Amino acid sequence: MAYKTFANGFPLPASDLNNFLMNQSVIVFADSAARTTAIPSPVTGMLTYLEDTNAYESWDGSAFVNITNPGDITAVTAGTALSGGGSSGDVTLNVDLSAVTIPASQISDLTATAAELNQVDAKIPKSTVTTAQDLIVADGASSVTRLGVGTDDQVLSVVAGSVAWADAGGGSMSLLASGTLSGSSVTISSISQDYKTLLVWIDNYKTTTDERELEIRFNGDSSSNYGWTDENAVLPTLSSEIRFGAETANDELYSFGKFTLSDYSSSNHWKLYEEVSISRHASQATRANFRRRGGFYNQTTAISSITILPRGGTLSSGNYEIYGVN
Amino acid sequence: MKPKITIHNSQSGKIVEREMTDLEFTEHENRQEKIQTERLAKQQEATQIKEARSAAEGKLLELGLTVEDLKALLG
Repeated sequence: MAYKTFANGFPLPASDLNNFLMNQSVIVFADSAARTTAIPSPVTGMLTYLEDTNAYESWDGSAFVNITNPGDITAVTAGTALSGGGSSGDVTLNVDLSAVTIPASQISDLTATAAELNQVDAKIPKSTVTTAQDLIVADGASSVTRLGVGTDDQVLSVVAGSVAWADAGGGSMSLLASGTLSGSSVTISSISQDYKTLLVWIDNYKTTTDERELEIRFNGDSSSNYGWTDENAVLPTLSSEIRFGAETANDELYSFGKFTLSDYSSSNHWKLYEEVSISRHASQATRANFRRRGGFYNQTTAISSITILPRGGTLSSGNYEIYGVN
Repeated sequence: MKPKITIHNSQSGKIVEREMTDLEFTEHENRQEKIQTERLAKQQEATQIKEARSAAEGKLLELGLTVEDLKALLG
């Protein structure tokens, strides 16, 4: 089909009438059956109107197809994280940025400034720590890990270049033995050789004979291999024990003394005895006898036992504690 | 009955209390005697010092002096 301009006096053959008028008009039919009967051989572009369906249909070369497309959208509603919308005309939807929440599982890539990302990266996740008392330490550049708490009395230290909880170096004191004084002597034997110094505490000591001190021997040695003095720069007389403590009063209350044996496990030198002690005075109950003694044991043998003896009578009370000190 | 002694093994913690052996008892007796001798000697020394002081003070008095006078002289 085509378009033709007719001029006055121009002959009008049936073909022109059919081609340029009938075939290009909107032909009204009661229904498609009437159309099929009336137009057995439609031409492409022919337009019909069916009264039973109120539909405009055009022949596309092989069938009549509906050309009316009214659509089924009646309104656009702003949903989650959107604003705007409408039910007629041009409709605009805007994203409500304040309402946008993106699940982490949906994030595969980010577009952000370096400063913004650095702020996030600089934060240490709480999940780094898993147990009470955990500490956070770096295990590399910009990398952290947890450090579990150590055991009682350990200190934070550096072990093989790494931060770690470790036993305190030096200053430790271990109780090797403790007990009460009784009888004619008390010997603490099999003393560990693993320490730098032995520290011996003796308190509330008393002998059955009033106002007597105690005496100390090492390694069961009762020979005259000991010397002691409570004065400076004197040459002590050798004796078969070292004196310990101040003379106790008529009761044992408040007496206390200590002595140390430095490097007691060495076999390179004689042994050094250092003692300080107090005991309540016999007649002046608010005052104490005070003794500071130095002494020696002129043997190089390591000290493995200590004997505590009364200087008269027997031991009627008292307590001892022996510590190994490093 | 001999006096008792106590031996405390600091490694095992075992404490044994027993009577002294004959040898230990002999040494114990000797030691007690020595202590007594030392104390007597010390007491005698203290007594002698006290007596000497008293005698010296008597002599000072005969000269019309006192201990305080002597201290003042010695400055």
